[in-house]
Amino acid sequence: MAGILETVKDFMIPFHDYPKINESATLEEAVNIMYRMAREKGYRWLVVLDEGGAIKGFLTLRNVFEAISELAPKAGGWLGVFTYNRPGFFYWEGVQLIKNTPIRKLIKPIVDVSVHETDSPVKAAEIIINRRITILPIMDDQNNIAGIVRPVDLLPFIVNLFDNTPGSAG
Amino acid sequence: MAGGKTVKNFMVSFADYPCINQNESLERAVNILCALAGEKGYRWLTALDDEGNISGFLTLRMVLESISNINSKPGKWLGFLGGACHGPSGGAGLEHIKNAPVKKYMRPLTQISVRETDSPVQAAEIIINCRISILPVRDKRNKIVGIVRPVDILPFINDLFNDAPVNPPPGTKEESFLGRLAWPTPGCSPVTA
Repeated sequence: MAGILETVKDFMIPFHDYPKINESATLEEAVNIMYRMAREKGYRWLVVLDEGGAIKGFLTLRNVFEAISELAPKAGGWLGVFTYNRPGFFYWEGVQLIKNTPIRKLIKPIVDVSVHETDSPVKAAEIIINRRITILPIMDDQNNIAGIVRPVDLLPFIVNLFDNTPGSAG
Repeated sequence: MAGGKTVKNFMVSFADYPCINQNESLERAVNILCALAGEKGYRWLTALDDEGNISGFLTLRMVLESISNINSKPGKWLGFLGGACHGPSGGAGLEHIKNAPVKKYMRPLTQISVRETDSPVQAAEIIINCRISILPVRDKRNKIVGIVRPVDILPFINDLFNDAPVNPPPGTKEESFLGRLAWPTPGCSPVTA
């Protein structure tokens, strides 16, 4: 039953379960991990850590696309870089430039909003909507990141909410 | 190997994509979304009109916004849902939302699309330039046959990176500056038949 007793902790993905990558890793390494994690667990973002292990930001699929889009014009645009129609030096150089780019240049900095793990899922949903973000950090009592919540994680909460509303068909 | 592949190789076939009639309730849509998000990782529903044509898409964000829209002031969710939903006004509001038709909250279909024979690169550029996350794919008869999302293009990029040679291919040389000029970039203008 959805209600005041459920906290965002009941819906979050624990931080230790989330895929992470060092900020010095290349875009190629990040894409490899994202590809594997998207297939295995449906995760579509990576948590990016600095050399000290602290969270530096997130790398989303859109970040990857935008990075390629920004880098590609230097070597002829997406179409010029990512086709085998031009398998010469141009193609080789363009792909190397993009895949070897360190992800520290591409990440979305961690947002300055978060919720506490004892907060309501409703509060998390409000922040996601109002700030137009898709990854919301969840903090514990020590102010460490305990987990992450995304819109898809809140779906079961909404289902329960509808189920427990008077007049429900279900 | 990524070379030579088209959007058709990466799209989710329309036949496989979860659909719902636009007149069905938001509650039913949320139940389907919840089941399919866990099973298949789908996070949108395709809404159909009574003739079976695509009329729009219902995303997770729209579901959250639909509930959020019940009251336009910040903090509305907390008062509305945070346990207060069991009161008369909260329950009535929620009931209204969950029984509302999908068409009230969906994003209507636009004319932005790609052909199934287009390059995945073209789909990626449209997704970025138009800031969309669901791109319809049309066949040569202009019928929507599938949908492509950023996550569907990820294998293409992964293959391209993996297949790229570490060293320049033998016998190649750097092209002139003219060879580096950008090719025409697909924009957000509608693709017409």
